[in-house]
Amino acid sequence: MLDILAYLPERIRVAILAQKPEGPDGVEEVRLREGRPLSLVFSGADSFLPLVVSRDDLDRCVALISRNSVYAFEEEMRQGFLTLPGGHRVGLAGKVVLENGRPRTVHPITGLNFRVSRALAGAAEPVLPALVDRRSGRLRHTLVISPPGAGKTTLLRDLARLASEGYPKAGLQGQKVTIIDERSELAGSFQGCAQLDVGPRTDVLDGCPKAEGIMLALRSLSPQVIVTDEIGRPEDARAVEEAVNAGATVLASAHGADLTELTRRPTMVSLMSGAVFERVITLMRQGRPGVVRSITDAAGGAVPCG
Amino acid sequence: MWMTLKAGGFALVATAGYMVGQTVASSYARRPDDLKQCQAALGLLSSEVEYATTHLGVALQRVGRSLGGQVGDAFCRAAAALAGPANGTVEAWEEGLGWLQTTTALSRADIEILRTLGLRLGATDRADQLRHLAVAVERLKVQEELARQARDRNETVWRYLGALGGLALGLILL
Repeated sequence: MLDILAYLPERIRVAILAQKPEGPDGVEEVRLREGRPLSLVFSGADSFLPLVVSRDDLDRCVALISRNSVYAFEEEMRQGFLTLPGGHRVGLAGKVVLENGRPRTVHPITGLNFRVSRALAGAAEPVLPALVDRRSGRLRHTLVISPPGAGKTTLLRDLARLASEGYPKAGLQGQKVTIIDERSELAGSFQGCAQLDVGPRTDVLDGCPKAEGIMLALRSLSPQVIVTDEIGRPEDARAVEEAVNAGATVLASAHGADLTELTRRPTMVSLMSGAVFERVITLMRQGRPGVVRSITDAAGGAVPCG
Repeated sequence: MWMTLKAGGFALVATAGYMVGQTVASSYARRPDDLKQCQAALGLLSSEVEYATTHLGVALQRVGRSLGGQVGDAFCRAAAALAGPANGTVEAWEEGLGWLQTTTALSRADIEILRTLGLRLGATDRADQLRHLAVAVERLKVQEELARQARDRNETVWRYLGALGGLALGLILL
């Protein structure tokens, strides 16, 4: 959280540091909306501070985030967010300027959402034994399912770290990992360099579309494990199948309440019916991120942890 | 004794007149070159924005170093100010403009063109930045042409006017 304060105008910084009883430590999101009170989000619940955000506050924030160089962040603006050192993300709201029907930039910016990035080292340790094939010592193809905000990315990031470092307790040797990080959330990259701990044998393709990234990684990085977030498009499914056929283990995530809901989506049907994923971890929203509801095999049969 | 003092006073007044004339004439002579330098600096800055997408502080520093002279120094000063704590682009740009005002022959109108550019510098996307830089360069070009015409009209006049005016005033006071 303290990293983020450097990107906020002084009066907002002071207000956040002064707010009680939580203090700045538990803040997950800081939301600035023009003409509205400053909002902080703690563990899913939000609170408003008695400070109305002005256009000047937002302009100052944007200048601080972009180091007075908005033009140097055109691609990020196109995607609607910027990543800060430390892996924190800033989502943009405002008037979206289109070019050939595609977003070109957001101008003026009337809202900013600072999402504090926290790597939870060890979040995946309880589930890892269920994902390792002890005979071959390889990781099984795994899909993590949950609704937004339940900790898919956190779990996947820690799985990438453990796969990269190796986890002898579960019989897993260190693997060459490639993260295809289309939205810079898994590795929290800043200018292409991972800001969060994703392991010593991990390469990151930052900002790269998943399908293209998977093919690129297979061609050039010889990964043993490919990690990617939120698959859902037909081309993603095809690329995942390609990776599996090429002998790489795929760790991926998808939005969905559970396996049943997921298999209603046409794209996912092909992946699930093809039995690509050997393990499916379903998470639930319950206070802290990464709370496991169930681990199943592709057929839906429960798999014990450990 | 009295004659020596008179001669000394005459020499002082004549020299002062000559110096004033030279200063004004030199200002007319330097202004087109200063404007040309400013256009070159903005051209380099456009390249940094368009091709290298360098952050503004680094871009200003690079332009300043490669250009040199008073205009280059102004860019370096703006870059240094931008790196300072809690400094926005406008405040940093003003630092550079302050330097230009005191060390170059740029007129108030020339500085205003640069000041207007500073209000938008770094605050928008690449296409918009390039548009603003191009507009500033065009306006400086017009100023340069006017400055050349003013130089051709006034430089020699002021050189002679200063010297002759000083002599005339000295003679009157004799």
